[in-house]
Amino acid sequence: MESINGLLNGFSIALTLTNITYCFIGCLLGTLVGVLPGIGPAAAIALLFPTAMHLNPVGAIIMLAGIYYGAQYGGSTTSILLNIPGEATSVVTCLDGYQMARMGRAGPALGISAFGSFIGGTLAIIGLVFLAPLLARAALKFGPPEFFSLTVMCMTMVTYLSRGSFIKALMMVPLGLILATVGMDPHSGTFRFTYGTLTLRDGLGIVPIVMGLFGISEVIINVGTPIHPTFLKTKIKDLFPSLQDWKDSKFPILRGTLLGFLVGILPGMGLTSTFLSYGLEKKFSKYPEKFGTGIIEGVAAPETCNNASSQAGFIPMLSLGIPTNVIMAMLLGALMVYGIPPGPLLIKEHPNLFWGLISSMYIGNCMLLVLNLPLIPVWVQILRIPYSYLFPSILIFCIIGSYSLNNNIGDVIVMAIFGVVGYLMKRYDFEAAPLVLAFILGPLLEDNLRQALLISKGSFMIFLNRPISASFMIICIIILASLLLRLRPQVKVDEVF
Amino acid sequence: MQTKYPAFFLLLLSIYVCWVSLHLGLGTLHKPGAGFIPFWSGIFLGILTLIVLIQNIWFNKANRADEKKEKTNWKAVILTLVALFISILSLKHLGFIISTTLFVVILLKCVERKGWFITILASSALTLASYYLFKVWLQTELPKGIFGF
Repeated sequence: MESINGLLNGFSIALTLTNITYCFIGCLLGTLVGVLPGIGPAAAIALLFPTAMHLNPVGAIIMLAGIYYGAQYGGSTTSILLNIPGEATSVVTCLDGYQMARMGRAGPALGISAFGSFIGGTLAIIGLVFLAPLLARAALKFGPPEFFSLTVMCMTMVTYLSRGSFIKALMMVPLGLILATVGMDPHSGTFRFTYGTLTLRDGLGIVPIVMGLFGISEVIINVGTPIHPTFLKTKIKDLFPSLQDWKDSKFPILRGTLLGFLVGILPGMGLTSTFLSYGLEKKFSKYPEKFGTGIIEGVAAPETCNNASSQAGFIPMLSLGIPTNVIMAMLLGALMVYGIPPGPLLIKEHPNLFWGLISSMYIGNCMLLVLNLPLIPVWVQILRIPYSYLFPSILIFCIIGSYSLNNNIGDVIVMAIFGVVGYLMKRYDFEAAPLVLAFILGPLLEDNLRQALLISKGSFMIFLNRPISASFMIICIIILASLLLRLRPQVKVDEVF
Repeated sequence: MQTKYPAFFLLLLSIYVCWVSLHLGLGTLHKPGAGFIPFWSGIFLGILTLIVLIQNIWFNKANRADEKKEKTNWKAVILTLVALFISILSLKHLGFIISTTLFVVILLKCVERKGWFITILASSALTLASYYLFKVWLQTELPKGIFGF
């Protein structure tokens, strides 16, 4: 009942003209960046971050969240029409989506991915409405040891599930923690790694770091190795899937939703969810050999799963203050900039923000369904804009964005430096997500560790003596043990293909 | 692409961080000091970096980064970065409009090799559009420079 009342209150907030406009802008921009292969939702959120900081917190979070789930809708368009995933999570959609387009069935492929995304997203939001307050209530019992262990578990999981080398991903965690310590130590007032610079005294800002690591570095990568999309000369018709298409897709959509929801709650699993979903459908199918030849199940399941997973990712972020992926970490950063401490008290102390955001996600999903299909021809035209003209605009936006935060050139320099760092990280296969996550969670980890050690008079046993904290630590140990026993799950693309 | 080069850099960084952290003060386990977290993070980073270096140098373990990647247009990458840094450093003195126009001119003329007409047209249009969007419409503060705009 409490959730229903909260949701009704949320709708009264989300349905104001201002918030609907922010939601619309977020969804539209999200779809746009999802469509454009050179720029992802992380970069887009980073670009809009400074502008959003001029808005009220509810409006800003509604808009930034809209970019995230909007991008999941848009990512499928390029996968289906160009065989280029607009988003990393849309890689699997290329397999059957592009084949369907080649057979002249681009319309049903685009249609089912939009409807599937809508169904997956909406059902996941229902789960979010009921699960997030429950989790938050349970987390009220958490003290510094529990929060420390939870933070460690989250970092371990994100690192564990990252692509490529585990050690390289793990190296990014201490690096992120070191970066998080730049500035004044809140406990002793000592300045750390500031070198007398005014820009560094307040610590490194999340915005210049994220803009550099995701925005600038993506542009430099694309300048160095340009993408040359080739357009399929196919007419997009029958956007509404036929009855047979629905019949074939109904169970993949339901399975995709359930899998996406469960996997989305876990830190670091977002990217793997679509691969898991595709693999699952192949196992359930009576004709697994047809996967990859252009069957609608191969589009419906991963696209649904993708959206359910992205919406479910809000559960740990909103109820525990623990981000499951880099975008959630950025949204968490946005809350911190507003002085809203993320964690179990968020729902209680800022109900308007929590319920307003959830309600806006319902509205956003409806908007995206209505907007997406008629706008597909527009997206196709936008894809024809040469990157030569697009990348200077992105760089200008980055410069303005980081400058406008504090009207400080120092922030812009920090952004450019992290742009170079991000580029080198991509070249050498170091993942940015664990670094950003550790950077954002760093202050929380340090504060709780120091408090816990104060309580325990310097004994680390406090993390194992308390049952909740111990269970988080045990999960970490299991994860690391499975690594030593070489049980780490890797997304084997070849198997899926 | 050899992973050992960034690993060497990270090893040096970890040593430096530990050294600075020791000066900041580690405190005690009962009451950790300002250098506690950076010191142990530095140690952790150093150990991991050493593992990567040992894997690379002694066992000559090839990893994904060492494999041949798509050919990179280094000239374009370096020119873009140089233009970006020059533009940022000149923002304070030349102001937003002049430095941004020059920035886009360098990108379009030197990186993308467009003709002068297109370059000047596109750079003016992009600068004015972004100025109008951010300064006039969103009322964002932009650097003015010595010319006052």
